[in-house]
Amino acid sequence: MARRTLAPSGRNFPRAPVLNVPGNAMNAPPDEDCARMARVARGDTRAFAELFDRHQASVVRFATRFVGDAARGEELAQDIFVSLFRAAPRYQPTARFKTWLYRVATHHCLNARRGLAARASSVGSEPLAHVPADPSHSPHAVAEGRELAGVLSAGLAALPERERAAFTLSRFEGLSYREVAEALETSESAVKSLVHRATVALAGRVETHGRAA
Amino acid sequence: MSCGFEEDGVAYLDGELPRERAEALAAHLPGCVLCTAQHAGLVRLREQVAALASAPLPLPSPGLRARVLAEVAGANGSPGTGLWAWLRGRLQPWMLAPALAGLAALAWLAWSPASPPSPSLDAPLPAWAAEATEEPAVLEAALVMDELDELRLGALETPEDLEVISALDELEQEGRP
Repeated sequence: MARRTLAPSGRNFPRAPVLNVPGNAMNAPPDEDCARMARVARGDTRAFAELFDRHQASVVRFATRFVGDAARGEELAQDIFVSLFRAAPRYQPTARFKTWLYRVATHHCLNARRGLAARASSVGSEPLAHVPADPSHSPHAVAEGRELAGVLSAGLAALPERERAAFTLSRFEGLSYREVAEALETSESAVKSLVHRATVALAGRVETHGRAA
Repeated sequence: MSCGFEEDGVAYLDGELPRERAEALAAHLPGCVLCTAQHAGLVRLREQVAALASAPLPLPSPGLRARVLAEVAGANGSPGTGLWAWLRGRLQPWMLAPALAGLAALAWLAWSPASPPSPSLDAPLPAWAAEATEEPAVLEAALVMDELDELRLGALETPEDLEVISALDELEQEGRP
């Protein structure tokens, strides 16, 4: 049915899959982490360690994708978690903990990118991850997949900061537009535009690459 | 020519358009060449990005947890704000050496032979001071102080100095009634 092919819209349409790794707490009840933060605010380092274990994978992944460099991403993740600890007394559970965490993370990553730009350093654009080779695919298809990963990584690195942040949070971390808006402290309509522009720019890159190949 | 849906394609795929708008776009798509082409490109990109998102990134190093928890443990007690929290985040262990050297210099000034001798000088050093004297910067400062001490005491033992002191004493006695 043509409409089914063209219009896979609605809440049931699968969002890009969120990496299913240990420590990914995307679907965890929000109150648990809020309660942990209340304990952290009282200086409970065990509660902090629990938060770290639950969220470190997604924070490192987000920071790494954002700055385009695994080592720098890990440094940023360290800063983000230490900031989280220091900010615990000011934490107000008005939003999901995860959204607030991404707000802190985005703030750090944007500052880091600005710092890099100020030092005229290049932001990494090497492919951070390669699509795993499927044994059933030909070597040519595997090479093509790796090339595509490189094109996408370079495209991400070239995006303006806020588009990159919105796209990364939405596509790679699986946040809804409302959650991205909370993380970036902007409106949902602004997020819609940011994600749209980023997606169209990346699609254009991929298409250009496909024509050149 | 604009059809008014150009900015909606991505939100439509993400299921983020309001229901009425999504239904309008769904009805519009089959008849709009531009939107159909854009939609096909976005669907392809979506699949490619999804594959990239599911690909593993390098794992965080095992030391990350230890580093973060150590830094937080150092800051624990009052994870709040203010000048002390700010300072605590920036103080490093290596800063102790010059600080201890400065303390040692102050202690030497206070306890130098110019002051009346203090019985506490003979007392054994407390543990923190004994550790401090093992710091290279402190040892260096102590060596310099010893040299200065020797120079000062030595100056009083030269024959010229003793002669001057003796002459001054004689003059003083002659001037007395």
